[in-house]
Amino acid sequence: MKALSLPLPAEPMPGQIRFGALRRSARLLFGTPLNAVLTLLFGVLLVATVPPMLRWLVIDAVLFDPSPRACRVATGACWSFIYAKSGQLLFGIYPLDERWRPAIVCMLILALLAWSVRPASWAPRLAALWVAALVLIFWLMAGGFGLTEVPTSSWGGLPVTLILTVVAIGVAFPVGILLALARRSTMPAIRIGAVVLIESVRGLPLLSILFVASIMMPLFLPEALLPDKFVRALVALTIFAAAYLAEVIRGGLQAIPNGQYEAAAALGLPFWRTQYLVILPQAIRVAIPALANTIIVMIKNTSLVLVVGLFDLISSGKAVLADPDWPSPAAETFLFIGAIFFALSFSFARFADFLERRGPTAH
Amino acid sequence: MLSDAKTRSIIIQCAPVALAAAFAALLVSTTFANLRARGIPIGFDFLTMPSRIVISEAILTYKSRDPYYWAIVTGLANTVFISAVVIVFSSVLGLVVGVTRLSSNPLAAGTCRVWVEVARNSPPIVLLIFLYSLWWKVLPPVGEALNPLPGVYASMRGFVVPAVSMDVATAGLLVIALALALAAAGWAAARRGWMPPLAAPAILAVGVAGLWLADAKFSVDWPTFTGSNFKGGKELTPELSTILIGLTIYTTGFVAEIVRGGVLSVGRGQWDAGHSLGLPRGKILRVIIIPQMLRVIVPPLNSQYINVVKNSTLAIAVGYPDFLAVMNTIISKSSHSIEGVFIILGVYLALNLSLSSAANWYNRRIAIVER
Amino acid sequence: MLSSTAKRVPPMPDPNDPPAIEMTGMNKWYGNFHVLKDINLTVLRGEKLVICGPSGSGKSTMIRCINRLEEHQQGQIVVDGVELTNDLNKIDVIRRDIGMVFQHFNLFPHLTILENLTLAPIWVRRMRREQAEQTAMYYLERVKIPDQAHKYPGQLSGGQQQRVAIARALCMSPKIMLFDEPTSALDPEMVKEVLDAMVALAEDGMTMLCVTHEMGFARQVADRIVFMDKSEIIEMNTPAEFFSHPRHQRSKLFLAQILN
Repeated sequence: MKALSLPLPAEPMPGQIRFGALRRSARLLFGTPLNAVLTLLFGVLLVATVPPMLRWLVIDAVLFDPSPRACRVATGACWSFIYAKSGQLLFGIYPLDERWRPAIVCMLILALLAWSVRPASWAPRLAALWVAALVLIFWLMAGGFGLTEVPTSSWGGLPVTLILTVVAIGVAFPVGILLALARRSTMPAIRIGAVVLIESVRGLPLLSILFVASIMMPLFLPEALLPDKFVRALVALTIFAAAYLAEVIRGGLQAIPNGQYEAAAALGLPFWRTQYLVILPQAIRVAIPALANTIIVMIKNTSLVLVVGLFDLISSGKAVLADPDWPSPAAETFLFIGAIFFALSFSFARFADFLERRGPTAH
Repeated sequence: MLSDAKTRSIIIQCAPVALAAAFAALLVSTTFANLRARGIPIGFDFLTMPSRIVISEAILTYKSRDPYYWAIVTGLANTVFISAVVIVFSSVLGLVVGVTRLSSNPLAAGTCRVWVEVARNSPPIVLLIFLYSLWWKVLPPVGEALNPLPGVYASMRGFVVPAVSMDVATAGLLVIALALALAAAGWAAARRGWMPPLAAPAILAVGVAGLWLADAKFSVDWPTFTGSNFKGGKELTPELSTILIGLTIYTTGFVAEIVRGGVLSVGRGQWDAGHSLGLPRGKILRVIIIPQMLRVIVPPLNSQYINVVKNSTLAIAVGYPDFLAVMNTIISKSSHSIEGVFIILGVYLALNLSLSSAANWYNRRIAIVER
Repeated sequence: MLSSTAKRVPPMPDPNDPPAIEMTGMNKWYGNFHVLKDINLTVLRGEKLVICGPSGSGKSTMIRCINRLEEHQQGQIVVDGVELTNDLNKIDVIRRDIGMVFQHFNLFPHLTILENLTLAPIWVRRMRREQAEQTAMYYLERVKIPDQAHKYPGQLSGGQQQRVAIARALCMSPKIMLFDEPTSALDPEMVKEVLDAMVALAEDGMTMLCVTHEMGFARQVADRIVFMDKSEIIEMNTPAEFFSHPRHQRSKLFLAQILN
């Protein structure tokens, strides 16, 4: 520290501020023996890892050259592949001319998600908005009524991930509320039933639930009623989400003081009215940060559906890599897919932080 | 009298119970009817029959002539192995990363922050597939294997590490010594707020020394590089290595956040109070800060450990045969789907229940009684 | 405060009317703890009762039994001719006719003042929204805070919140009002504005049961004072008698403590 301190000029001059900043960062980096050791340690680590990564990612990478040959020669990443295949990566085998439809669907879903976590937009009409949006989404994806029809087997990529996430959470939300209320019920049969259901779902890996759903459904449903893979995965995701949401909402319910129940009772409000008008609006508001977290977990979990044969982002990545013309740049492809997931959940997490910091006085 | 509170409560409780029972009955009857129609027998007899399934790699010894139950045990052992290794490594790394994030050094804190954010915001399955795709890109062929630590080699073919071999009796004794050390730690934590720092390692050391004195069959097999191959040691395939590394990176991010939260949860006032009593720094840390931190850390840490067990199912993404993957193969091979599903549900619930009851026990011991 | 709006003479309690509340041989336990011992109390229509006693004596529990926020295990509670049993319909009817004001206000923090006041009339009394809002504004004016109607409870002072709570109870046009230590959670300078609202209500002829330590209020308004200690009713008397000649040793002790 002392060795680094510079003599300050007597007169203030433009450079002084820079020296101040330099001094401050020098103190932070080398101020104590521990900090000096940490700086050296992490300095070595970063010098060893960052330049090669940068070289691979940017300097030696093929950025725009559209010919596969450039990628075979280059030692860096092959981004032109991602660029060339972005449509297929994002939208799977959805018909080429109709790709604007899933694109709109993705933007619609993201906008609605962001809108919905604002407490100010909570009103019965939000649910109506979602229902309307889902109808619109389904129409855009499946077609009919003036649009070319596209079967679910041709759906793929990001819209599948997003649709599975929002529909699972949307259906799971009311179920989760009921489960949370049931778990707090004074009636033993109801309470025990809810506990068993919630805890066993939470005790199982999502993959095992997806497997069980795809193994068991063909056994106990008649052939004719057997839903397709998409619906099966959706059912499993919904059950999973409901159990986790139930616990989040229960956390919110526990934060509501008893006086609220008593005041509602003293006014003569019956049970369901009390819940709907007084308790739940407050409980859900308390639970927003945890709810946002659960939504992030669900976005991440939806990536597991590829294991039961659904065509989500990862599967479309794998399919794209099968193109023999290209040198199969797997790392780049999965980095790109990872970046999409990261962007989705990171921005959602920041948004949740923002809501949390604004505090419970959300008016 | 439908409006009587008790009567109404009973009716409300009966309705869902009856509904659930009816649903279960419907499920069971259609399932059995379907199974009969397809000529599939039900029962656990198949477990003792030779499985003839292939398990590509296993911690235990497994041959395809072995019976189904041994295949299941083999898969379970793989899952337990992955979970245990990831839990140990991510706990240690998470502690380091979490504390470093609180450092005033921007370089160190920043790097750790990047780690935490990447881990928390990417799906573990994408992380695994990405790492797996890196394997052949980053690591050299066997001939030029990296040797980052003595006895540890890394190459395209995976890792080679020193193997510890011991006979069953020695392993048993070691487990007993470990359990004793843990119990002592728990007991000490309960009695003194925090165990004397050397009690548990001392017991463990005494145990190991005792084993050594008793001339236990215990040897470390160091791998040697022969120029084109390795002799001795334990080979970890790229698949297994990817899972261990990937899940450790992922879990470390969460453990680090939990540790950071725990450290931040103990207010400055506690340090001030300790200083004002004239306690030395080390004593304050051991007697005042860490016990309070543990109370905050243990419950979420435990659910993170349970998550590790659940995330070990992602092994399937890189083709490593964990318990769920083995069960999936068994079900499709033997058509005993109902039994298989019961085994899957039972095993995971049992694993997670035992983890959480251990944590609950520990929690009760260290909990501060409030009002 | 009402002299300008109404010239109604408060009806004197008439012993010949059926009583508003009648408790006979009422007992309640929390587990093994006998929290209410053999309570016998009759409240006439239009009567104002002040219930006092040391903390933990069971005063709050007793009035909370009247609208069944607490369940009694033995004896009878008859409110307005309807006996309180497990019959949920009867409980609903009784709660509609009893207003309650709590120590901690218990306003609904996510609703505006106006919404707090109109919630129950709309959803329980099935009133039309405009009519409910009219009623709400009328009572807000009576507790002198009509200008706060569109704020949220968190933006009001404690005294204002408690006056809103009183107005909220009144919007259901109750026949009986219960007050559970309405001024105990308030800063001293806000006690008076709440007591003024209660005095005005008393002058209007409302049947009132108040658990309170405000002896000035008791002296001014109460028809009778009920003194409770250790789960029992020790003494019941007019304020004049109770303050000047407490009959029981424990009443004397309590008065000595509270009046100094």
